[in-house]
Amino acid sequence: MKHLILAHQNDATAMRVYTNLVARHNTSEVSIVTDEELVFAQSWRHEITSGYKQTTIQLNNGRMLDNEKIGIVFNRLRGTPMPHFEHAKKSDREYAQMEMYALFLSWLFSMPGTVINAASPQGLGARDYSLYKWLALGSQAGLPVREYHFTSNSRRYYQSGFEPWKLESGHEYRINNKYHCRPHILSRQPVVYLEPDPVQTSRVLIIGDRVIGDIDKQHNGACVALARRANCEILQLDFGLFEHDWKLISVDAFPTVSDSVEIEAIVSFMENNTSKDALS
Amino acid sequence: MILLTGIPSEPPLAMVLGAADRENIPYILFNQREAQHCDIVLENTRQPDGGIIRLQEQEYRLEELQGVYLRLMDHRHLPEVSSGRHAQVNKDKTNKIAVFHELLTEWMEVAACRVMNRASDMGSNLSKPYQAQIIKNCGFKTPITLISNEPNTVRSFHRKYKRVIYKSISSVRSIVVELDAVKLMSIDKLRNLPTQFQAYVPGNDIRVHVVGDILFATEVKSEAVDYRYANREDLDVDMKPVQLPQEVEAACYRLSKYLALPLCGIDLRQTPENEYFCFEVNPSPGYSYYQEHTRQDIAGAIARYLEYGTALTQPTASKRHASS
Repeated sequence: MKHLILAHQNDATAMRVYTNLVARHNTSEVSIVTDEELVFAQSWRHEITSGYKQTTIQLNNGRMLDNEKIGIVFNRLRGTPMPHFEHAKKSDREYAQMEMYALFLSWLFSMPGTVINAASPQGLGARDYSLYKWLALGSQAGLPVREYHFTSNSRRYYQSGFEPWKLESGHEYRINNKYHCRPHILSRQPVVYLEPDPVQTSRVLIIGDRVIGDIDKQHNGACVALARRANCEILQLDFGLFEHDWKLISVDAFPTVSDSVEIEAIVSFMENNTSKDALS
Repeated sequence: MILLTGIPSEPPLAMVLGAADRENIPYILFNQREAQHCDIVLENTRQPDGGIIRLQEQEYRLEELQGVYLRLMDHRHLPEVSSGRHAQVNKDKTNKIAVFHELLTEWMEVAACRVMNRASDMGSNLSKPYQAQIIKNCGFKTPITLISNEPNTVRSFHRKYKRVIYKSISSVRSIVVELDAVKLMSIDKLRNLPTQFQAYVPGNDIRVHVVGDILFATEVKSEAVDYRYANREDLDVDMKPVQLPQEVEAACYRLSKYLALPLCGIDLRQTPENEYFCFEVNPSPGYSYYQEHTRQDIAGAIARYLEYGTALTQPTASKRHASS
């Protein structure tokens, strides 16, 4: 099996890539495995010594995953569901989740071929960065970026002409979840002051070195540089038009892809980057 | 100017504060216990890592700092936000403290200055076998490791290597325990969760602290399987500074560089055959325990590295600051 797709059972993007691959290859060369199938695998055998590393996973349906036979992985894992620990003590459940995450991370890192997008301590299948980090990295990669002032004290560091968005601890202030704050909140609470909303937005998808989307071609190099910095083969960048300039406004390392051109680009990337050393 | 962060009475931070004072290294301190009175701004009008930190009524430009020592405890457990006698049940205050910590840590992720250590770079020990593969790539031997949920596979492993220990796969701190006949009887519980087993490696423990461009090696002698818990077994621990072979030192520097951890604690074991195995890299080492036993000036090296970009002693530093 040369092409392996790892995903949650409801991941439509993963399913589209799988369907497209199956249409072009022998079914024995393509496999899709869900996170739950991995967690409930009949046997895990992950070995690391100074001389070699080897992993075999026997799934409950009889399929065997052997690192040496996997040419490329389309990694869409987000977490480690542990329903069998649902009724365990919270500390035991959290421990089990951390242990399984640690195992998945080590297994994916030990793959001899390419893993799109590689697992890391910052996320199994996607970099789970904050809006601030994505924008700062975008800027360092050479992209024009929407102006921002993140602050713990909205009143002391008031920014005239910018839009305040409430800033809450944790994931709340990531761009998909943020919301306009009402004037009375502007006491001394944390906010992010953003350059006012763009008049138009545009989506760009990076797949390897390919840039798909309507954005000034002069930014293509910086878009790919950002994906490289984040160690992502697939990355979605969202740009906004501010007066006459397009600027980066958000990034998604776990994009939903439905466009047939983009799906085919992912499939082509997988075909072109499959390890030739994978055993048949 | 360097920024030191954490609880000032906690030994690793207290020692760096003392060292900075001794060496006349200018610093500012973010005392976590005063987080509700501190402010931060991260902005990109000047440069991507621009901003302001406001501590004790004074403002400092973040991009002008030379280095940062990160020794933050989990802000959710600060007395000011956790439940208990000192708790201030104020959601806004709790959110402000949390956001301050998050913004400060995120700024360090992109800051151009020296940081010991960035949170994202400290993640490698979230998975011990993941880190072991990096350790191996840097030229160290690592213990023979098996992770499995198959009792028979583990029984074979035990038969093959005779002495086998087991420990957590993740960063959850677990006491290293030897797999004996009694524990083998309950091995069927493995089915629910794969577990990590390693062939036992005999020898003396050595803790290496890499601080930028210098390192401190400390030999630890103990009869305990895990010397950190020797007192629980009523066993002694003896520590002394040692000199490592050049190639082992080189591998330690490689590892520190690869993991982007200018400050790290590397756990080695020197076998009777004079081989060096590496077990783990600690990205936030409680080095004070070793400094107290051996008088190695690890704290001074940290302060110097952050300010000057080298941990080597600065013969003219004291004079320069004294006269300014």
